[in-house]
Amino acid sequence: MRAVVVGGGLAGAAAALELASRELEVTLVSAGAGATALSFGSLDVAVPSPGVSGLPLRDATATRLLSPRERLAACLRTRPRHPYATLFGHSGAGSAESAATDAVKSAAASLDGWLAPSGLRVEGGLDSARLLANVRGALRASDFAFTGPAEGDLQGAAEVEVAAIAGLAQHDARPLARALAAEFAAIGLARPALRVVPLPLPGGFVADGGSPARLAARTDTEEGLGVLLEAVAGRHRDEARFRRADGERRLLLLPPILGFSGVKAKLARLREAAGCRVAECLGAPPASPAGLRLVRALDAALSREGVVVKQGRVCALERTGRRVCAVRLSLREGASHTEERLEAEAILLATGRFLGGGIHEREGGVHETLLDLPLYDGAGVRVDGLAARRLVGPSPEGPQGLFSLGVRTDSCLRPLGSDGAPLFENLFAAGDLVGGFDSAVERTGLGVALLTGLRAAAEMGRLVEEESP
Amino acid sequence: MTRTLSTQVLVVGGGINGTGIARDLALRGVRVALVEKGELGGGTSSASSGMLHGGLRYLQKDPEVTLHSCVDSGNIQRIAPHLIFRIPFLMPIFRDDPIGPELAEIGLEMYDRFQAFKRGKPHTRLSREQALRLEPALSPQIECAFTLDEWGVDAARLCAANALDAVDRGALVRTHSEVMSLLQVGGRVTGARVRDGITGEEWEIEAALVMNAAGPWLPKVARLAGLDVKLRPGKGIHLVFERRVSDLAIYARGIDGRDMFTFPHEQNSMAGTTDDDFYGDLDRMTTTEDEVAYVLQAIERSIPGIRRHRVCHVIAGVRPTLFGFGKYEDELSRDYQVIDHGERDGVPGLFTIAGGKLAAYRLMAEDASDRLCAKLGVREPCRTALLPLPGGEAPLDVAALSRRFRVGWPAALRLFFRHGAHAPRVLEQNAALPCAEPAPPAPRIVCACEPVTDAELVHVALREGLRTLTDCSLRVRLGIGACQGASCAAAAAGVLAEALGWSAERAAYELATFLSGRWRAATPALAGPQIAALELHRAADLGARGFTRGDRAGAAGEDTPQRDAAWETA
Repeated sequence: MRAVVVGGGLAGAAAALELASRELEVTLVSAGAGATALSFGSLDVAVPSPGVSGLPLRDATATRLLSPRERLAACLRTRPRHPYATLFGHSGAGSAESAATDAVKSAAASLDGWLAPSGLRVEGGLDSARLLANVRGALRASDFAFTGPAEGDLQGAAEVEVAAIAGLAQHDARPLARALAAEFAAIGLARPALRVVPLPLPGGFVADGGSPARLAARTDTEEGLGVLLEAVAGRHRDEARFRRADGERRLLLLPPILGFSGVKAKLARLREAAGCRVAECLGAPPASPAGLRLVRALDAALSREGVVVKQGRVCALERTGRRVCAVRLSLREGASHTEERLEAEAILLATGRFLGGGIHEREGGVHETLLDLPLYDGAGVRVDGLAARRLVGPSPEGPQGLFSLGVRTDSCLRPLGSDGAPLFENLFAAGDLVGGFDSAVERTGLGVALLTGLRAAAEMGRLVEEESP
Repeated sequence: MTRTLSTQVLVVGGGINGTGIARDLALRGVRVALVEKGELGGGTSSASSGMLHGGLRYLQKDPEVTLHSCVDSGNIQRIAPHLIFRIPFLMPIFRDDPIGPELAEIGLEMYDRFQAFKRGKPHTRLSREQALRLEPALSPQIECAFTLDEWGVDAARLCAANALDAVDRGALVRTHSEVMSLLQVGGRVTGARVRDGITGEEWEIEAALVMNAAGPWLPKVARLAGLDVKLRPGKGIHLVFERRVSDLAIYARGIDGRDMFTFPHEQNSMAGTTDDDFYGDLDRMTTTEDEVAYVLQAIERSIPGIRRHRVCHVIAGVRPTLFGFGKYEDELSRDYQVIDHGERDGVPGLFTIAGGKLAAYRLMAEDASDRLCAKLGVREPCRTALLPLPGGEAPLDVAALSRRFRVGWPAALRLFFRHGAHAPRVLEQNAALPCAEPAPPAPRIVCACEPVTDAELVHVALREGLRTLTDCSLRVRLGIGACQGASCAAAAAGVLAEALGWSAERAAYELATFLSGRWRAATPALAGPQIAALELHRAADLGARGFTRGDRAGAAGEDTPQRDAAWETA
């Protein structure tokens, strides 16, 4: 018996890991990590931003941020077409909420278990949001975050030192600090004292026109990290007279430059050198090391858990009646391509939206790539076959049919036909391929990927168990 | 409070005509002020093909236009050698073309006689095989092909160079300043009331003469004096590909037989153009699906694989073509006209310049300035063909520039392209950066597509009077490549915020405005692989936004003492 997962992003990887943990034989077909590789350090399950989403950030008394639990409940109440409504029901009854919170808790714990051996932890919980700053000084109320930015909760910090690294591109400490101050004013919360602290690095250490990725790669070497530690320790001594708060109430905010692995250990050493909390800013997509860290840690977990990973693309799915029975693959090995056929008892499509390649434009219309499954926009209108340019609005902020479209599923995450019945008994969908939410506005791409990936795996496991003799 | 100033000539419009006239007058010692309601070259000039071409097409009906364009193209090459680049053209001939190879060659032989004026090479005839070897993307259906020679230019930068030279010689140039009304005394136009669109401040500019060089907006300006100037505005669009799709420019034929082409332009390729009567709102121009499909259909005949390439944005503009009734758009004259409204309408003090071609801008400016100087009693001759534009004074060792300022070769080369001999001055701006301790760091690459360094942004903000982030895409080509600002606009906003003292609210406003503009430019041609790119760009924009509401009025940096004094006083 074999399950095949198509898609190498978070949804596919989580599903494959979950299936492997149920001791099912699983093969993951990956053509790349898609949008997951472009994520930037935060993992949100409930809409974390006001204004853009219509969901409130603060409670009625405006004195505290709403907890992720409260925002998750609001999402279930107000978004009947959101994938969460499919997964947990949208009655607004307590049962949906408790099912959702239980699922989120266990999903976060599972992911943390898979990533932790790579030194990447999933920090956070449902009871309070973390207030994190990104490289532009924008605030984000994050539900969960990965090691690196996760340590940068601005709530409870009395003093924040924003590190300025001369010559580093995409990062300007002064505008960042100014923007951060404006952000606190905009959400009406008291802000910590902000100070820009130059971090002098030796000439030539920041090179190539200030490329942040190049600097991040340098801190992956012991020598490069040593240079950074020395600069931080030097500043710690020089800046002592300006400080008021003790180490636990002080935060040194670095740009996201702590390399692509071993971030936890690096942070511990930096903390010692700085004498206070140290964190990275959230990156600004698309340039951030956080997405690549996540992809690397997922790859390590897949290999550890014995998931067979095939690098390549699916060219076709074979079907008999109302079942899909095999995938045909075009595999890369170096420069050569080989073809392979994989039989499967159950198949999960976690192929993403346009970025992942799960949906593409063909002959002037948008279509699901592999089976031409029916696609619906965020308002529930069927849109496959329509030209992409007819599905975009006049400004990026507004609702976009094009970027909220996807397949509609039953509660087992099986794609539905236009008659509302599952098209295939053993075909499932997860991640951005599932429509009904706009991941750019709602910022919950990774959260939906994780929750739908795990649910699909559970349903696939159940199907296989039912069918095995 | 209204500020007032007085000058000899007020030029309305900062396109190539307005800036060309301002420079010409300033060189003759005339006191001149120029107001532009948007950014320099932001209207028709930057929406042109960016070519200093003679116009092979005009040979049949408008040989004067071809002659003027070729002669003046030669002049522009001499005064701004850094801003121009050679574009070799390939003209494929198909079996079903209305003009066969023999007839085409006769036309090209005629055109060869004009090439000498603009340092162009004579045409050559290529066999089918030779042409396909030269440009493998060409359709194998061709019968043979010809080469001919044209020149490209960064048109927005050409406008800026003219404006900067005028400022160096005492002119006042003010962008984002729109004429609200014309001052009139006893039937005579004596100046204009101008509103600054960013600060809201109003200026009263008194002038002996007002030159209406507002391009397609010129009828609107003339109407402020109760006058009617008729144009036959013709809209044209260009598709911009994320990179070069061919080494040579390639002729193509539209379904209606019109000539079009796809051509390498700086880091990209462009394809166009259309020419359609335009009756809509000039300030809210959109590109239609039909226009995009029409251009792609034409190019596809010459380059069958064109749809595999990513169109990252579309440029639309309107030609201020002279009025003509009962003709197709393409048949209208490309000639120009300088109108003295004193003579024509009995309203002295106001002039209008209409029509014309980018390639002959300097000649047109000379003619217009001659007319204005005659009125003013100024007898200085025109010197715009003799004196180099800023940066065009001398060649520069780009390798040495790259080494001296520790900036990569491509960035140094592109910097030289925009600033010519002034490039070292631009990079010295880094020493003025606030974070410059202990030694000025090497310039950072802010926009990798172009590339643009932080030093250049600081330079255009402090020394060139640049006022908004959006203007950077014209002034230094920021954020108009493959990423459409997704990975550079925020960083650029940070650099400008530092240089100009913008508040966080102003910086947020500038960033959102820039990215909305890129969205509007990208969506009309949205298809194929560009969809995934747009999904990414949007996620990058929205995913990094905060809670701060953008506010244009949050302009703490407006009129800071850092700004070059020349921009503040007449």
